[in-house]
Amino acid sequence: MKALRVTVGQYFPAESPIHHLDPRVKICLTMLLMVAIFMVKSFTGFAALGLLLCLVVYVGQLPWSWILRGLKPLRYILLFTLVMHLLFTPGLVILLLGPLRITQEGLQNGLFFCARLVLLVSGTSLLTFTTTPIELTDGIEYLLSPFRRFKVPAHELAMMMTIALRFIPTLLVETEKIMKAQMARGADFESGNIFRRARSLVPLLVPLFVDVFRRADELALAMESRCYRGGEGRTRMRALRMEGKDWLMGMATVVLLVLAILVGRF
Amino acid sequence: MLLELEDVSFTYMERTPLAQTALRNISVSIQEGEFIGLIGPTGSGKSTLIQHFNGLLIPTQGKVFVEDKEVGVEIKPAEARQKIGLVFQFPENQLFEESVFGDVAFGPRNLGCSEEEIEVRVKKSLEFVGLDYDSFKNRSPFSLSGGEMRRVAIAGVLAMEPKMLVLDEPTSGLDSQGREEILSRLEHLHHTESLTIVLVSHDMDEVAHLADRLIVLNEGHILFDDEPRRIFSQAQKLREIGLDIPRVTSLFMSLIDRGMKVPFSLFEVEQAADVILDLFGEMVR
Repeated sequence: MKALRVTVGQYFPAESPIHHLDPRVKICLTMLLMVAIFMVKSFTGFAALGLLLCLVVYVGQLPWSWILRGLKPLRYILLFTLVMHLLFTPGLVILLLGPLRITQEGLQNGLFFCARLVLLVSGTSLLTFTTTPIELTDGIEYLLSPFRRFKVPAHELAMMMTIALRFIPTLLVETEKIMKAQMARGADFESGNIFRRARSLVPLLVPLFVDVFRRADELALAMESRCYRGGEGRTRMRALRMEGKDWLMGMATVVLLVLAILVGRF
Repeated sequence: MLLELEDVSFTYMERTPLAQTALRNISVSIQEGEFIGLIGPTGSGKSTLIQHFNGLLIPTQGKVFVEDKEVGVEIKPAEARQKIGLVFQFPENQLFEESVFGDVAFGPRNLGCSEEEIEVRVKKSLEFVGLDYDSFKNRSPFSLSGGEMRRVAIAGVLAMEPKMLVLDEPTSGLDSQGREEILSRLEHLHHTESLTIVLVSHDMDEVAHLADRLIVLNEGHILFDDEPRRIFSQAQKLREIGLDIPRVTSLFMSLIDRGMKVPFSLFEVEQAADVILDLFGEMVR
């Protein structure tokens, strides 16, 4: 099995001001960034936002290769967006390819939407690159807690996310193990048509499900025997606390984002 | 030669910052009919090594030959997998069929055997591991005890009719009765079918009296490859890497140190007890 080379949703460990920023600030800023990306109406605005993201990457000591690899799964969507806009936007024709007419507006729109997608994906992946999953769920739990009044189980949702994230690597290892065990018994996961291949997954999926249920049972037992009963009255070991630098960084970024929006509106 | 490894090295995640060398320049050959114990501390590369035996892993350097044909060049990995049966650690985790019969039949079915042939093989394999065919064939593998599940999983590999059976810690997590049963079944298979067996373990007591050759692995290279008794005479070196000699051998070595006349190459508790009783009788007389 090929090692998974997807970087979206991964954490890049480093000691930078961005990494040490309060996760709640980072989540809020990411949401604001998304709003900004949708409000911006010109390439100048995108350039301003791009510059801001580059600054974050630089300060956060993130490798550029990670950002690029994070965009890789997006390449077909980008191509599709660009081609669709190129072919189907009416306007001033700049190029004639047989029956196809490519217009200036099409080119502009295509590039515009591609830029928006690239900024959206790389902007949000900056959050997960610089925030550990635990911090992230803590932050989400805190931000969701006002909605508890409307019966939103904030703590339970956060706990589910933490557990799911925790078990992804475990299950990947387990999948590889079972795959190899079945290959040792002559199983073939790679050849044949789509129906054969789907059928060949049964010897992989059944043991995997059995394993997942067993692990879930064991985990539930372990949590209960340590008296876990949900979020009611629960205190935390690492309480999130907003410090001066968090306020400062947050405000500074908000100002920059608003500036970018203003620049991009016209 | 049934299996031959020629200067095999293996690195996980090669050419990434996470690269980790698991095997270094391993050369080893295994003949038909041998019973080999493969021993090493945790993380010494035992599991990585045995996955090279049947082409599940391809060495980053060096060559692997099954019956003198290079794996991946002259012989397909799939064919090598039929000849070298590999039983993973906790093999009961791979069971998936509704019946014991179906699960054991998975291997032969993948090989393209006829239904009659499959039935013959399933029956034979289940008897080999000491499970009665008629009473077990229709039961769900998930309703069996841990030891039984493991034996069904081993039968599933035996049904491929391999020339060599490689087992990764086949007794771990079993009680002493289940452990004894598996080991005695392996001994039986080795004697009656002269099946070549490689038993991976970190427990010297387990392999000492079964294997006629021991391979000791440490940090990805072969430290010893010899008869058990010759290796146990190097007790100090074994202890340095976190392994121990069998408890009976250890006891007899202290007896020898005190000037007693006892044989050195004894690994079984019953025999040892007899020798000590004789010795005691002589002293009393």
